[in-house]
Amino acid sequence: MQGDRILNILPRGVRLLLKKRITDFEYLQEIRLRTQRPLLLIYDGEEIFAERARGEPYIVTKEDLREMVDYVSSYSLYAYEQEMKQGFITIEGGHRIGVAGQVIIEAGKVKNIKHISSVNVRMSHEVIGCADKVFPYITRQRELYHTLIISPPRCGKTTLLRDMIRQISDGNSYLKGKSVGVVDERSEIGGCYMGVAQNQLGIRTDILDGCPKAEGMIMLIRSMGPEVIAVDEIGAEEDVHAIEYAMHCGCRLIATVHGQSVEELKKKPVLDRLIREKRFERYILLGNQTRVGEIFGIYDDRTDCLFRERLPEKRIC
Amino acid sequence: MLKITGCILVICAASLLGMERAERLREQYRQTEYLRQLFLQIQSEIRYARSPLGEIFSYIGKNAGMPYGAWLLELGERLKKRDGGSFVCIWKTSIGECLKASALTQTELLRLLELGERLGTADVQFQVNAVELYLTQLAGSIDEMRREMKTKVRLYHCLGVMSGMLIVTLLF
Repeated sequence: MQGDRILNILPRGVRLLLKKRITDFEYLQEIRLRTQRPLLLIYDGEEIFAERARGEPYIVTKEDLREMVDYVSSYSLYAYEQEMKQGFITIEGGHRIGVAGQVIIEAGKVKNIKHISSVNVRMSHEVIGCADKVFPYITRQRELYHTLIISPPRCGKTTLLRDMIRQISDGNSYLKGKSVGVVDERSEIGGCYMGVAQNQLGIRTDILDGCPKAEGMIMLIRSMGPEVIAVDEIGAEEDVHAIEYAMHCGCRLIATVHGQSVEELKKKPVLDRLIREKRFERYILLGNQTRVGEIFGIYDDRTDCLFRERLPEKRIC
Repeated sequence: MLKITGCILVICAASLLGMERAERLREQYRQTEYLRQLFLQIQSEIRYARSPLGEIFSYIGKNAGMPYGAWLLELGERLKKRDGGSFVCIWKTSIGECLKASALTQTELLRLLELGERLGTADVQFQVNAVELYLTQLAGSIDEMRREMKTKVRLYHCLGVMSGMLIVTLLF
């Protein structure tokens, strides 16, 4: 299924090659296509060249990329105008397709990208049960703490968030099932297709797909009355305002942010205030030194460490 | 008696031929008008829902009547398959296969084929404008058909009966 979704958007030449070469798509992390350059794969953390025959790499052509853009956009680039401005499109299953080429500027802002010369397919992986370890530390008396997941790119923050949503929504031994509202601005959490989540997000989850986070959180509070709100990759000032609004409305918040540590977040003016005011009660820090999704530590609002998979570090700031 | 029956049958057959031609003209008008309605729907789906073309064709195709329902569903299915070929190629093939037997005139079929070259590209406004242009052309054709239909239908009816009578006269 996972493999089929990816193969479906690849140009036919690459599709045939990967069908022969890749046996387990679970380990495939990235596919990189660049015009007139060899096809590169990131497989189980290793960079490999996809070869037609021994020692003969597959060279990506301009036609391959044109064909791929057609497939990725379902032959309808206009439908992805907003996404193209950000430089990527998310396809069914939550896989992110990044593009680079010649940028079209209008009134000083990026309008679109033409002559696409590079495409990067980043696989989304659903790891059921990867949040099992964190629940003892982010719940108390069957209630959830406001939790922020901090992680550099490609360390599994969206995967962890997705499994947390699923478990909160279905309920587990630490808390009973709660209604969860998900604002999935980049369509990576749910991997929605025609508004329906393709990833497992639980039975009590409502999802706003492709909606800006700040607006989405307020819309969800008004329309669906969620007990928990989940958002991915916060960072803008309006996100922080919406988070504060949601917290004041009695919703529990789980969110992710790019970063290496809480200390680093304190250097960002918008997020610093959230930390100083102790809006979040738990911080989960992820890394990928020994494996993707490794939990460097779970910290409370005073940044005291409650749990870590790796040693030692007493405090992170 | 036999001769009279034969005469009546010849006149009836010729009249039916005339009526059939008139009906074909009416059908041509109905199908062109229906195509215009479908493209109005497609235009609003592009403008407001910003859905991809495959999704739009499948959605509208489900409720559309013949001959367009089958065509739109087929088109939606092929786009979903992503099995090679550009959009224009898929568009033209599907028209060739599904709308060949429709009552649309050659001019309308050509216009429809040309529309495929403008669909699926970069921005919404261009898509809306492309469909708008096509709708304007369709509206022009429909007006012309409506004007011609009144006279042509009567003409076909008359020609049917008259040609029947002519054949009878020539035979006897």
